[in-house]
Amino acid sequence: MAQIREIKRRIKSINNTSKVTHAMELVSAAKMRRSQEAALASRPYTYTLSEILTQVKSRSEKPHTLLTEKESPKQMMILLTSDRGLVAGLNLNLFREIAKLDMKNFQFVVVGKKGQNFTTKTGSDLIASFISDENEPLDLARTLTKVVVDAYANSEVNRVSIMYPDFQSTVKQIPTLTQVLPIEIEKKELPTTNNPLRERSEASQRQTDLLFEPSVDDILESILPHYVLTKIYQAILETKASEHSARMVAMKNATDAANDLVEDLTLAYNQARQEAITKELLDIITAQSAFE
Amino acid sequence: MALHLQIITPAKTVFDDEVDEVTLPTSTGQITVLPHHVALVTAIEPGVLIYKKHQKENHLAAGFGFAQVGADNVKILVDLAAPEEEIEEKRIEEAKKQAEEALKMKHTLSEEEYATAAANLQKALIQLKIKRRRRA
Repeated sequence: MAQIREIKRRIKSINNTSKVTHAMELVSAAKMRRSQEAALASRPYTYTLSEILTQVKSRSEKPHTLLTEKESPKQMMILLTSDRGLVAGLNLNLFREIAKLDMKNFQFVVVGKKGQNFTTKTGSDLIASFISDENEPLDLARTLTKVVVDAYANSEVNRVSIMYPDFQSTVKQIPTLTQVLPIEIEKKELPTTNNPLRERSEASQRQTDLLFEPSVDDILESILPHYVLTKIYQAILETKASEHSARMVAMKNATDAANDLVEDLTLAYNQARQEAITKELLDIITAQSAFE
Repeated sequence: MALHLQIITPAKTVFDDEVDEVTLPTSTGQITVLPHHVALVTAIEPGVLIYKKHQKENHLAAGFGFAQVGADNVKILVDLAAPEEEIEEKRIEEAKKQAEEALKMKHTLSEEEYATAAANLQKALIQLKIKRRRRA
C-alpha cells in the first residue's frame, strides 16, 4: 500500500511540473514568434547598409578614425546573453567560446545577467553591464554604440568585437564572434535577393562612376557610426530571437519528458494496484477455504 | 524601363516594387530619379518621399537614412517610412508635443538627448504635413 501511495504522489507532482513547463512553453512560443519576426525583418536593412558602405568605403581616400587600426594591447568584447536561465546551453556555449580566447586582454561590456555572473566568476575586466529585459533594443544599441565608439576613438582598445548567439532556426543557434571596429565589411548575401536584375545593376555600377551627395567624406562620416549601431542592434535582435527559441525548445522537451515519466509511472501504479487487489482476493479466498 | 524601388526600415521592408519615378528628400535638396539615372549614393533627411506608378503619386514620410541609386534600381534605407494612410494623426501630435517639451528643457539634456528630441520633432512634423496635405 505504501508503494502505491508513493507512486501516486510522484505522478501528481510531475503533472504539476509539466503544467508549469507547458505554460512557459506557450509564453515563450509567443515571444519567440515576435522576436524572430523582428530579427528577420531587420536583416535586409543591415545587409543593404553594409552593401552601400562597401561602395562608399572603396571610394574614400581620407582615413577615418573608425576605419584605422589603433595601438593598444587591449581588446573590447560586447557579450550578449539572456537575463534568465532555462535556455539549455545557449549562454554556456558562448562562455565556452570565450574561454578559448586569451581573456586577460579583454575588456567586457555585458548585456544580460547571465553574462554578468560569468564575468564576475572569471574575474574579468568588466567595463559596463546592462540588463537586457529592461531596455528597448534600439536604446540599448545606442548606448552600446556610444560606449564602444568612444573607447575606440580614444585608442583605449585596438579592436571591438561582439559575441552573441546567431539565430539560425528555432532549434539552432550558433555562438558567433564578429568584429565591429575597426570596420571590416564581410560580404554576407541575402539569399532572397539573388535575382538577375540585381546582379545586372551591380555589374553596371562597377563600370560607371559613382556620384556622392553631398560628398564621399560627408556620407562616410554619417554612415560609419550608423553602421556600428545597426550591427549592434541586429546582434541584439538575434540574441533575443535565440533566447526565446532556445527556451521554447527547452520547455517543450521538459514537458515531453514529464509526460513520458507520468506515463511510465501510471503503468507502474496500475500494476501495483492490480497486484494489491490480487493479493487481497487471494487472502479472502484462502481464509474462506479454510472454514469449509 | 521601370525603376525597381526598395524602401527598407529596420522594422520591415516598406516597399518593394517597380515604379516610374521617385523623388527623394536628400540633405542637399529634393532630387527626382528616373530610370537610367547615374549611380549615386546620398543621405536622406526627413521630408516627403514621392514615387509615381501608373501616373499615380504616392506620398510617404521619410526619416533619416541613405539612398543608393543605380541605373534601374533605387534602395532607400531610412529609420522611418510611413505611407500616408498609416499615419495616425493623434499619435504623431502626441509625439510632437513630447519632443517639443523635451527641447524646452534644453539645459538639462545631454547632447545626444537633445539631438534625439530634435530628430523626433522633425519626423513628427513631416508626418503631420503629409497627413494634412489634402485638407489644406
